[in-house]
Amino acid sequence: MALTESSRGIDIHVAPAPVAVRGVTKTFGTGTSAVSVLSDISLDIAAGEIVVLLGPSGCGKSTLLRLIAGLETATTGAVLVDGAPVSGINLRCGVVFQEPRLFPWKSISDNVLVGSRGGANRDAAAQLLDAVGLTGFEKHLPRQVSGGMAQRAALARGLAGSPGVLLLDEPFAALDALTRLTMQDLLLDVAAETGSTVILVTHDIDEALHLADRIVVLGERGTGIAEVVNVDHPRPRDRSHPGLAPLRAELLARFGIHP
Amino acid sequence: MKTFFQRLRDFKLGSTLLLILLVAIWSIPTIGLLVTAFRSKDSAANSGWWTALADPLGQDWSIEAFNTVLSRDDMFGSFVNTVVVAVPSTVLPILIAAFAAYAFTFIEFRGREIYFAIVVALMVVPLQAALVPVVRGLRAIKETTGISLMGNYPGAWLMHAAFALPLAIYILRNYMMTLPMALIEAARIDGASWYQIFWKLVMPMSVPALASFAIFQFLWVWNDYLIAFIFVDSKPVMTYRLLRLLGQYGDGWQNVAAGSFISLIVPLIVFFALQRFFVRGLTAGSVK
Ligand SMILES: Nc1ncnc2c1ncn2[C@@H]1O[C@H](COP(=O)(O)OP(=O)(O)O)[C@@H](O)[C@H]1O
Ligand SMILES: [Mg+2]
Repeated sequence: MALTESSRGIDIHVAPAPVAVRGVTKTFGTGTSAVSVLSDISLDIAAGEIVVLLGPSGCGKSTLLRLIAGLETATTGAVLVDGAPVSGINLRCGVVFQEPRLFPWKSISDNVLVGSRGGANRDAAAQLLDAVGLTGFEKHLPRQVSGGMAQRAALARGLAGSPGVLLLDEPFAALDALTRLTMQDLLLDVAAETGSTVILVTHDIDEALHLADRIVVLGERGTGIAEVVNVDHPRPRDRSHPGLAPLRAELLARFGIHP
Repeated sequence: MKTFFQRLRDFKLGSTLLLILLVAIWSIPTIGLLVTAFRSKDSAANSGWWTALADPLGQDWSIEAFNTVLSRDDMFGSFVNTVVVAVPSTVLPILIAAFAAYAFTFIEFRGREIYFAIVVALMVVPLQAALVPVVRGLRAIKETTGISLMGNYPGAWLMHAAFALPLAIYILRNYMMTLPMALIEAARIDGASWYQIFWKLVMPMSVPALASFAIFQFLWVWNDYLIAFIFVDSKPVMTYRLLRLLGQYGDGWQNVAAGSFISLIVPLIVFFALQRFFVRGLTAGSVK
């Protein structure tokens, strides 16, 4: 049974929406223990755009995603989704978390159905499970599948509701290299089909180059946006396309690696 | 070369022996009860139950006590009365405490910590000390509104529920604080309301704590004499019957013992039924 029978009229939530981050600052704690994580982040993301957040570990990538989803509140500044300020859980956003976060007592396919928010049916869930390569594991419980499989199920759950804004926090980090490539292409297919706005966090530069319309590089914790890189390559992209090489070199240099 | 004590520890002999000793000590009253229940009135009155164990063949064992208990008075009626008192007195506080603990754990509201501190502080109020004010209060309610909460079940339900609540809220909140916030966030992202999160996530995940508290509360209410005696005097419960079995001159020991054994059956069933739950609850899906 889906967790949400009534909470959502499908139409508005699946409509691709622009996201605007306006001067957002986030500080955890108060007084002497205050930690400034995000400072003065401003970002305008068009509906249907694919933006990749890249940055060193602990720089606040997850926090930024959580702010957009409404799971955190900004210390100052505001997040607008489709022009409306986000306060509290924002149902136009679907989230794939850094960990699978599946319900341990529900089967894989029931977990995916939860993500469909009462909108989709078993066929759609089965299709998604097939797309993430989990056919045959529908009846398994999360603890009966591997970590990578659980993460793929979580991806399917995130896609199931076809949210207008899809937020993914290092969704492929736990996958083996080959599966990761397949899942990246799956994400691109789904995004192309639904037109969803996608904001994806990764620390994999090649992944960023393959997926992004725009790469937003965050600096060390509390220093804000370091750089925004436009990736103007037509899709489908060839991963080894020489045109991407200069961008790759530039990004690697940003992280102190000189090829 | 391992020392003797190391070996002892390796074989867990020490803990085994200790456990056997503890079990033996804890079982003595129950064994005494069991033996007494099968003794005749005269031998129960004239010698201690342990003397019967010393000379088991020379005893005049009888099931007379069980006959007496089951035939005299309205034992079955009392049994039913006790169930009617005990079940709502267990379910009611657990349900209310679960609501309260949920709010105290997951919902941010002003003064949350202070309210919680007050609730916990209420645990120090002894039931006995509150009896007279409560009875007076209920009487006042009856005089002004005509609603009588005394003399029948609802009074006992309310009393048991009220005095169970502070501890129940405390235990359940502490348990709920250990629940994975990540899962609750995931559910909220997928559009679950607070109401759905409570029933479909928090309650199922809290089963171990709910079951343990249910056991304690049920045993407490089942064995309660005071509240039942004061609030449901029209419907005698088991503890009241057991006391009556003793007889005016205290010559019905064997009857009390037999009655106690019959009364014991239900708590045992409850214990074993719920024990299964909390063992499963603790292990289900917890480890990846
Ligand atoms: N709820 C919180 N309370 C306090 N500090 C937090 C909290 N969430 C995140 N942080 C801190 O914010 C920083 C950024 O975290 P995060 O956004 O998870 O980084 P990442 O870029 O690796 O995803 C970290 O230093 C982390 O310790
Ligand atoms: Mg992170």
